[in-house]
Amino acid sequence: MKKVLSVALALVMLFAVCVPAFASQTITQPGQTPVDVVTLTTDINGNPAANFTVTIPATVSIPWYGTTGGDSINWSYTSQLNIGEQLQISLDKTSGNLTNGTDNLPYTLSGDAADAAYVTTDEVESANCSTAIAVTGWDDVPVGAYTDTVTFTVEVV
Amino acid sequence: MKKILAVALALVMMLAVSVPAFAVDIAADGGTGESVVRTSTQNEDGEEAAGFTVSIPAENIVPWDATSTDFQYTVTSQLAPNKAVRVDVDDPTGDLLMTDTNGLTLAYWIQNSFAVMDGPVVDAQACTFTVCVDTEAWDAAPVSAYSDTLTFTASIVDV
Amino acid sequence: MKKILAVALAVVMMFSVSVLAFAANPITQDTDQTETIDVYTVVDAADDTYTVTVPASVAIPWNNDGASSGTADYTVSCNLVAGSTLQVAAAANDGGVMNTDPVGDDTLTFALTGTTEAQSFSGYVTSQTVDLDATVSSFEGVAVGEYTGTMTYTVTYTAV
Repeated sequence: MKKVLSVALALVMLFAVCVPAFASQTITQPGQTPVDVVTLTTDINGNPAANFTVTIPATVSIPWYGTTGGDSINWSYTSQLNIGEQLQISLDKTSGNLTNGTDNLPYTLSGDAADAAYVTTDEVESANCSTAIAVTGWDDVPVGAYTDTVTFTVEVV
Repeated sequence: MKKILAVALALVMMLAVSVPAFAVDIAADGGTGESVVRTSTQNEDGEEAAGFTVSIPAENIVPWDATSTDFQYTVTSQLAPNKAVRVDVDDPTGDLLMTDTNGLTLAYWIQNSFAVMDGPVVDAQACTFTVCVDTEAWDAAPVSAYSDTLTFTASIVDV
Repeated sequence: MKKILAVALAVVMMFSVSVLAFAANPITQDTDQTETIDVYTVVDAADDTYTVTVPASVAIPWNNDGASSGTADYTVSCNLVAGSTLQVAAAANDGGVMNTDPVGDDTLTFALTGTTEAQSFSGYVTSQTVDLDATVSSFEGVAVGEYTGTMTYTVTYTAV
């Protein structure tokens, strides 16, 4: 019984080693043999091929009293996702206060990703986007550097 | 020439290294990035936004025999935090003498000759200074039109 | 008894020798004492055998930065009579177009690279591998997914 089991095990191991050899087919008669050519969704290193980059400014400087034409956070994205996937970009707030620690300048956000989460329309897409920022109360506070942080979150949906 | 090229190359390399600081890339599902919104102290034309205005009367009339006459000026300012406008009213000659066309003089002095605003941001804050003439000076002065020039000096001080 | 056996043996030997004497020049007391004959096999095309091994499928890894290839090598072993030939050719179907399933908006295209011309074989060949690849030159602007196209290996055998 032991000898039978050991032979069987050896055969199993042999088949396991031989698996790659099964990924072929043998032709012994003349004729045409079709073969599928298929792309993988991973690269040569086995990493997922789908990728994207959303680029946002590290800082946005607003002149005192604002810019005549309006101020904005200008950002962009490029994506090459899996079929059926989209990018969703959202902000952590739609309004807030720029502060110097003592005084505040209220502001509101509108436009891309502010009115609603920004969702791409195609798996392969690039675009430049703009989120408007409107600051009020310039006359009511000492002139200085007032800051706040806007956080962008990107998800594949 | 080599030195110029070396400096130029160093500058280019510095700029290349510094570029990533201007932008934040988010490339992971669920990833986040922060954009800091910051005000500048200059307006869109590049001019310093901090400023003030001191509005002073063109003429200050002292009625005859008035021992004290108040005059007002206003200050509007928007300065940096912990700063305020100070206004000093002085006789630039220092003699505190009004004179007429004949050279006759009438002595006076100024009360509340300076004022410091309440804070960096004031809107038409009213300030009063008083021109005082003693009774004796009036009594000793021939009736005439006496005048002197006062100087308003505005400065920014810490508060 | 021994003499009988010896004679019988001699007779047998004489007959054995005489069979050969029917097909070749005889050896006599007057000729050279040695003679040569040819011994050979007889075969025809019916004995030809060959095996062409091709991939069951060709997988091409995705590459966001440029071209990518999958191995489409084939291996030939054959044992053909002189004059018989074996030819193996490979071609991309439909211009190498690759679609998703179900068919979507995007397509890819592959082309065969390497030894793309038809190869001929004859005689005795043991596991000769022909280098062939299926190559997609660019994945730019295409949603990531499994795109499938077809290539065909054509084996042509010509008997002598």
